[in-house]
Parts: sequence; structure tokens; C-alpha cells
Amino acid sequence: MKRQIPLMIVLILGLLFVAHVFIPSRISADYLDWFLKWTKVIGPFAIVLGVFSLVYVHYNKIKRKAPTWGYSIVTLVALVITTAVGFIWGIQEGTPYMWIFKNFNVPLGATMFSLLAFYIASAAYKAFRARSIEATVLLIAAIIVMLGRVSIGQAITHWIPDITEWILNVPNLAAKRGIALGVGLGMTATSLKIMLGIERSYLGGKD
Amino acid sequence: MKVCSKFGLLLLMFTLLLVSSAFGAIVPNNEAVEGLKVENVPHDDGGGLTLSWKPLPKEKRIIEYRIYRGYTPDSLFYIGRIPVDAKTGVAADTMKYVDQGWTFFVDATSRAKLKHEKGQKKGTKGAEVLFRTVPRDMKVYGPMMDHYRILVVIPDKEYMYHTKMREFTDIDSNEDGTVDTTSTILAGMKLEQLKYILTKLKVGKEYYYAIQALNMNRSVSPLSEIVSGKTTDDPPEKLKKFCAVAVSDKKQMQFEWSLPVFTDDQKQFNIYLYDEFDDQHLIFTRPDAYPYTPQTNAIVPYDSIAARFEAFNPANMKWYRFNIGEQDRKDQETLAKDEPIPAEIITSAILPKPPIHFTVKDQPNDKGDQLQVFFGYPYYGLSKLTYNDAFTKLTVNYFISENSMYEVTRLILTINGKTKTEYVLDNKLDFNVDWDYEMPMEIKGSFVCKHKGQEPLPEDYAITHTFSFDPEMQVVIIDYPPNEQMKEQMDYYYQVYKINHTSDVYRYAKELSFREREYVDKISYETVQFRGTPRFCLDEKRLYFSTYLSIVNYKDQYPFYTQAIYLDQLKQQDEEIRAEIAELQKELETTTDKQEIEKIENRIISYTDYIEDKPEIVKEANRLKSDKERMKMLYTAHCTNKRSFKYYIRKTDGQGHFIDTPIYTAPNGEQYIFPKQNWFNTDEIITLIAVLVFAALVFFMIKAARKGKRLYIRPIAGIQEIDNAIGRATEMGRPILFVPGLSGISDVATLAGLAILSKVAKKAAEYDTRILVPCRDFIVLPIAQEIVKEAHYEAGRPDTYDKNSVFFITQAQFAFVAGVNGIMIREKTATNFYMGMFWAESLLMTETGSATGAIQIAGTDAVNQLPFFITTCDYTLIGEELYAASAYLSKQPLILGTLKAQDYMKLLIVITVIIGTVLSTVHLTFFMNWFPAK
Repeated sequence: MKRQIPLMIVLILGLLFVAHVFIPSRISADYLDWFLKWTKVIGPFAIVLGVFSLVYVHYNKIKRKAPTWGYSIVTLVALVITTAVGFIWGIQEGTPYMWIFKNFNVPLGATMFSLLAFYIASAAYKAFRARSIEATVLLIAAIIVMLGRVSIGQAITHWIPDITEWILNVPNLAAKRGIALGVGLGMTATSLKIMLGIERSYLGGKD
Repeated sequence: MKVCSKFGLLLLMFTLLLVSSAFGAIVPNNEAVEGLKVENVPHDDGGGLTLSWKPLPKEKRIIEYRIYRGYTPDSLFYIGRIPVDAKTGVAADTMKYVDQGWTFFVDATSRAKLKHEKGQKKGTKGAEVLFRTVPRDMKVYGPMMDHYRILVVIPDKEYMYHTKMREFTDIDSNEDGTVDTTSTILAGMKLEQLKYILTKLKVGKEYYYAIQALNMNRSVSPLSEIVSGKTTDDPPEKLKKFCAVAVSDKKQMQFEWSLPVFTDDQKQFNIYLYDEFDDQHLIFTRPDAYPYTPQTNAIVPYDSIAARFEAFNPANMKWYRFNIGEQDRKDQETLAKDEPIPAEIITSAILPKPPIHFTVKDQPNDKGDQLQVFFGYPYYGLSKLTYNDAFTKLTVNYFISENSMYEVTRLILTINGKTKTEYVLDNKLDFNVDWDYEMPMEIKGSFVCKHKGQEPLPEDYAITHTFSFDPEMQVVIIDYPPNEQMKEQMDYYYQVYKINHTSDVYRYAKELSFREREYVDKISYETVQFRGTPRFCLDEKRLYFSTYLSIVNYKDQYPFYTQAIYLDQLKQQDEEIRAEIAELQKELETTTDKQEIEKIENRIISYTDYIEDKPEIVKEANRLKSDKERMKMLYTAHCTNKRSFKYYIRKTDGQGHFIDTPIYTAPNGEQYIFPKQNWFNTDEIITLIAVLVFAALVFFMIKAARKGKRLYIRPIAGIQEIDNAIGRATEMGRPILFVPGLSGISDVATLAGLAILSKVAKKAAEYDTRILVPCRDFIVLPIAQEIVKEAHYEAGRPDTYDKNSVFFITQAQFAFVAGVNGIMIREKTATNFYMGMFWAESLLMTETGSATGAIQIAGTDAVNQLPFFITTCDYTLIGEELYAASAYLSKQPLILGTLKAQDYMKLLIVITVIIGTVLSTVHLTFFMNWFPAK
């Protein structure tokens, strides 16, 4: 029963959602709205699990004095301070919570994001090393596309932007669509497997 | 100890930084806002006041100005705020806030109790008079309602079925000492049953306002001076445009005017004729369509003018002058023109031709909330024409406006005698240039439409545009100057008007340009009722509303035919009217005066009519015994009639030269068109067929696999290497990292990732290798924990399961990346798996993993992230391979069957694509058109 009931729920709701695609009536539209409202209810409950997990993991690290356990103190203190100031002074503009968000969270996030520029350069270097015919083709295509995207490409010859457009719109798009086609089918197959109870790992792993 | 002191220092610094910066010294917020003025909004319905004040200097770092309002100076409630950028401040000399229109007052989610505004210093004016928003406490908001105009929004179901009937008796003393008793039945509801209550200022009433500024430290300034203002219902504004046209052969006048800005208290438009002696005669009245937009033009036949102005003589038209007045509900009127204007005298030959094939139809494949209004033959327009650098090729970018009667299948374009047929309407067509590009040219377009039994397009129907190359601007200019055909089209636009079956005034629905041929009118479902100022009862904590529900426009005699929602109330009413009739009949017996007899007889007829002459649906509903059943029937009729519309289209140039289509009549003779809901979306037939074919393939493949048929599956390197990767981690004695994507559980990629986690965790448990699973989504977390736990149990190693190995990091994208990267570096993971949905963080993680020397296997369906994974990971599962991975790993016939079915389905799709390509190449587009565009 522990498995049967969830599987039944998945099958029935899955069929209802499939039916929703083909039935445009008001009942069908209202059902979707109603269901989406309920899914929002799950979030607040689940966040407790997340916070509990975070506290549990870091508390254990501190308790066991695991390597670099000091970072766990910082994490927990930051969690407590941010939550406390949010509860006490609110989260509007001008509150300490917003100050923490703007002065810690945003710059740290931006720092991580800006690292991407260097990582892209490094990844590009790896990708464009002409060690095989495929890599050479990739290198040439990349050079043309990069030149075609800046004004110097047009200055060299109007063919470069044209070829760039062709590369992006024909081989690139064809490959993208091929992948999308496979992804679509894969998604449908996975959904079907889940609905029919063939794929059950999401229920806890036991097949 | 050392570590502790290091982190203690870090924490101290963090706290000091926080405290010093968050509450650090900025200029104290000790100056009150000055120069507050409250002025009446001109030309409105007497429900608006404008507040203006001088903003505080930039140094004060103000983040918002809060506005408080009350009907007495000793209690002001928060009504709104104006946010300000603290860094830039306010550049203008004055700030303005307009308190106008319907604004939120209270609902069931409002605060429970009356509370003073926070942050006020003790003993200050602010601490005494300022309150937060209006609470849901009836003791507070109930009496307040008398001082405002109130509009209550009630969910239909609550109003129809869950109200409490109550009779109120009002006693009014007359001057002569007699007493009038009036009893009213009202429907009672609690605040929780209502959607919300809106409020608006009353006319001629004084309101008090004060402003308070809030700075970056959330410290409030002293309260500004409390200033009052009185609302005034001014005369309406002057209309900007008014045109009068006399169409002599049609014996009618046509008027057109512009709309005013404020229409809330508009009552009607009055058109006046001024005769040769300058005497004013009212010749036409157009009631307002509030709350909808009214018509802005009118046709007034000469007969109708003559009925109001006996001396009217069309021969004297050149002497007559006209003007229009806008009249509000207080009967204040403003004339549009200081000097009345003469009419332009024309014949109907000058008027435009009416749009043909005007049709209104239910929109297919919807939930019953749309109607299609369409007319005319198709139109094509040019969005851009471009010559290549050598002027040897012209690219024509076009668009087509069509409607469901004439669906275009081909567009035939001709330039300089060269004709090209566009079989696939992709809005782009190239011409080889064999003309002098500097010469003005014409481009003619004709159409081939789908034959649906409609009248075919006239053979000579074509649209011709002109274009010329401007050598200075180096662009192609289209339709400048326009040819005769385009000029005629461009001068006019279309106005769609509609009226529902519970109204007597047409309302404006949409303006369509000369290019448009179709309008989809959204007819929303009825979900709420609007009721005016309610009574309230503190003991019961109920609000009481009018009990009448509009049913239908009955015979145009009762445009808003209403019915009481309670059967008992109806019976009581009928009895009262019958008693009144009986009294009148008695009076009739004793009356001798002829005029008085006629008067009484008319009243008897009118009362009898009211009781006897009712719409059929009302009679039928009133025969029902149950209130609920009766309401169900009446409510259905109410919704049907409110959502049934009559339509007509007016083609106009905005100068009084317009022509109307007749009101649309459906083939069954019905003029009111009702949108019907559909139970099957015919646009999805192909999708349904594809799903059924795929399901059948899955079924047969699973059956074949069960029977033991050997199914060949192409090897995928990434999946085959999973075992080796786990083995590597075991040999090195380092943990495995598994990131199940950053998406939520509703994403199929996450589910596929978790399916792979199940296999990887089992294998890791068998090898006794630690697996770390950081989660970004807190719903994914418990599922991942359960999967890893089960995997350990299945491997027969429940003792090695560590709950701490599956953990939540954060929801913030880049903070999560920082966390994962930290784990990779600190734990020196030997193998990293990235399975699921990823965004910009993919490269940040995999590059770090690559730097730490871990073997990395990634799988995602995010096409944009695939290049990063391919570059930095050892193996990558591309798109569908992610979904196939769990099947590969499990080797179960059931799962392998679905995989095989997927391959066959792909084969079918490829065959379909090839057929479509071949047929389209030979200009057979029917096959392609079977498939939906999106």
C-alpha cells in the first residue's frame, strides 16, 4: 500500500494533466488553476526540511570538529542573523535584512557570476585546440561566428556576417532541433514511465 | 583554539560591519515635510483630491513618502506611499499624489486590530493620530463606510447561495409629525465571504491628509502639518473634437466626437442644433455606457430631428449650427465648442463602403470565453523592403492579415511584371532586380484562400503598394506617397461596438486599423458581483447588500430586468403589489374625475404588468420551491445574458464620415452570440495521434521485451563509464559528488537525474564509497535522501548510509555554486556527476571539478549548457541520453522497451520530416499545414 497509493495518485493526476492538454473547457482550466494553488502550499513546508538539513549538517560538523568547521559557524551565524533581522525589522527597503542582501548576497553572487568570463575563456581554449578534424572545424566555425558578430567582420568582407547567419540558422539550428526532438521524446517517455509506474526511483529508489 | 579565535574575529568584524553600516550615521530625519497642499481634481466626478508637497533634500536619504488620510484630523490611516531613490532624491520642486478612483479599503486579510503607526516618537502628533491600514474590525471600518463611497466586490457563489436574508425597518419622521415606515430586505454576508471592499472619496466632503518621510534607516520624519481638502463635483471638461456631417440623400446627420478623460460621472452626451435665430434645440441624447467606454459617434435621422424641433427644414441646413454638451450626473453640462459649428453637407457617395462579410462566431478550441469578430477580404502589408549592396536582389518582408473566412494559403506578388508565388508564408520573399532601383515601383499582391464553402475572392481583388529607394537615407520607403487604393484604405479605421443582453447602450469594444481583419473579443466569465454601500450590523458582524440580480434586457421596456434573490422576498413583494392594486381598484370605484381615473388605471396596468409580464425564465424559476434551485436557474440566465453580445462595426475616418454594418445576425436568426466552451481542442489532434502512436509503441516494445526478445540499444560512452568512474573513486578512497541539477522536482530532467542517482548510489554503497549529494531545491532534498537511503539498503549496507551526505545548500544560484565548488576542493572528490537541469552555473562547477582532477560525467537537456559540459567534462549525456541513462543502467526489459519505442518514434518523426520537406519543395503544403505551427 505504501507504494500503491502514491503510484495511483501519480497515474490519476498524470492522466488528468494529459487530458488538460486536449480539453480546453472551463472545468479543465479551473482544475489547473486550483491544482497550481495547491502546489504552492507544499513550498513553505518543504523549506523547513531544507533549513533543518542545513542546520543539522553544519551542527554536526561543528560538533565533530570536522575540517574547516569554522565555516559552518559562519554559515549558521549568518543564517540566524539574517532570519532574525528579517523577523524583527521586516524585509522592506532600508531594513538591515535588505542591507545584508544588497551588501553581501548580491556582490558575492556577482563575483561568482563574473568568474564565468574567465572560465569561458579557459573552456574556449580547450574546445578550440585543433587536435582533430572535428576540433578544427569547430575552431574555424567559431572564428567566423565571432568575427561575424562584431563590426570588423563586416569590414573584412560582407560574406563573414552572411556565413555567420548561415552557421547559426542552418547547421547550429538543425543540431539544436535534433537535440530538442530527442529531449521531447525522452521527456514524454520518462513521464509515461513515471505515470505507468515503470520508473519508481523518485519514490525512494526501490524498483 | 586558534581556529576558534580566527572565526570569532571574523564574526565580530561581520557584526560590527553590519551594525555600523546598517545603522550608521546619516543626516537625522528630523525635518517634517513642508508645503502640503490638498486641491480638488478638476473635471472629475467629485471623488478626487491632489496632494502636493515639497520633497526633503537628497541628504536626508529618503526612501519613501507615506500618505495618511482621514475624515477627521484626529485619526489618519495609511493609504499609500511614493518610493524614492535614496541616492538621487527627488529632482522636482514638488511631489504629487492623486487620491482618486476606487482604491482598496479592507478585506478578510487586512490586519485584525486597529494599530497605531510604528516608529513614532512618544508624545508626537504622529503617535497620536497616525494609524496603519484599516483593520478588518467592523467596529472600526463599519462607521468609516458612511464617510466614503463604497463598492463591494463579492464572489458570485457567495452572493447567490450563502447570504442571510434580513428585513430592516427604517422610520422617518416628517415635518407634519407623521411617520413613514420603510422596510427593506437585504442580503447579509460576513467580511470573509467578500473578495474585497473598495473606497472612493465622497462629493463635497472634507478629508484630512498628512505626509511622513521614511529614510534609509527606516526612521520616520516628524509628521507634516495636517491639511484638509474638500472634493467638488466640477462641470465636465470640454470635448476636444466634434464634427457634424449632413448626408443629404440619406436624410440623416452624422456626428463624431472625442472622449473626455474623466468618464466616471458622465450621464449623457447632448447634441444641440442652433437655428437661424440662434435658438438652441436638443436633437439627440446618448446615455453613457459606464463603466464601459461609450460610442463616440451618432447617426441622427432628419425625422428624429424634426420630432424634437418641429421647424426643422433640411433645406436650411447651411444656416444651422451644431454643438455637443457633456452632461454629468449632477446635470452640469459643458459644451464642446465656444461657437457652434456648421455641418458639412455631403452625399452618401462620399461615405466609405461598409466592410463586407461581417461575421461573429464562437472562437473554437477555447474555454468558452472568446468570440471572433471578423470582416473583409485578406490584406497584405509590407513591413520592410531591402536591396542588397549590389541592388541585384530585393528582399520583401510582408505580413498578412486574414480571418477565419478567408484563410490565405498562397500569396502571389508581382513587381515589374515578374510574378512570384509564396507557397510557404514565411513573411519573406526575394526578387531579382531587373528594374532601375531609383525609380518608384509598384508591388501587387493577390491571394489564394482555403475554400471553406465561402464566396470566392473577386478575381480582380489585389492590393498594390508603392515603394521607392531613398538614396539619401539608403532605405526603401513604402507607400509614400500612397496610391489611390492605399489612400482610401489608410484614411479609415474600424470601430467594433457591442451590447450585452442585460443592457440598453452599445459599448465600444475595439478599434482596428485599416490593416486588421479580425478581432478576438475576450468575454470573461462572470465571477463577481459589485454592490454599493452596504449596511452593517455590529452584533452579527455582517454587511448587508441589495438583493437584486440583473437577469435580462426584457423587451427593451425593462433594460435591466432584475429579480430578488430570495423567493420569500419575491412573494412578499408580489403580495404588497397585489394589495396596492386592490386599493387602487377600490379608489377607482369612488373616483369620478376622468383624468384621475385614467391615472389610476395606468398605475393598475403598470403594477399588473410588473406581476404578470415576466421573462419566461423568471416565471419558470419562480415556480421552483427551493431557493437554491431557483437561484441556480436565475444565475445561469444572468450569466448567459451578461455574456451574450450583439455586434456591429463602424468604418470611420474620425471626421463624421462613417458607415455601419448591420447588426450581425447568425444563420439561425439569433443576434446575441454566446461564447461556448469546447470539450476537445482540435488543434491538438496531431499531438493526440502522436501520443497514441508512441504509447502503442511503448506497449508493444515492453511486451516484446517481456517475451524475451533481445533489444539492441546503441552503446553510450558516458553511461558505460559510470561504473568505471565509481570504481575510480573507490580506488582513490575519495568521495563521489552527485549534483541532481538546480531545477525543482517538477522538471523531468530532475526526475531523470534522480533515477540515475538511485543507480549510482547503489553502486557506491556496494563499493563502500561515500557519495555527496548537495541539493538546491528543498523538495528535491527529501526525495534524494530517501533514494540514497534505499540504495544503501538494497546494497545490503544500511550501516554506511549517512544522512549528512545528502544536504541542502541554498536556493541562491551562485551561492549554491560556491558551496559545491568548496566541497569539490575541500573533499577532493574523485568523481563528479552533474545530472539534471543546469543554467549559467554549469561551467563554474565543471571547470572547478576539472581543476581538482576529478573524472566528470554530465547529463542535461539544457541545449545552451551542453557545449560547456562537453568541453570540460570527460563524458556528457546529450539531451535524451540523460533520460535513457537509468534504463541503460537498470537493464530491465520494461525500461529498455520504452527506450526502443523512443527510437522507433524518432524514426517515424524523421520520416515525417522528410515527407514534409519533399512535399513542401514541390509546393504541396497541405501535409505541412496539418501540423500545428507551435
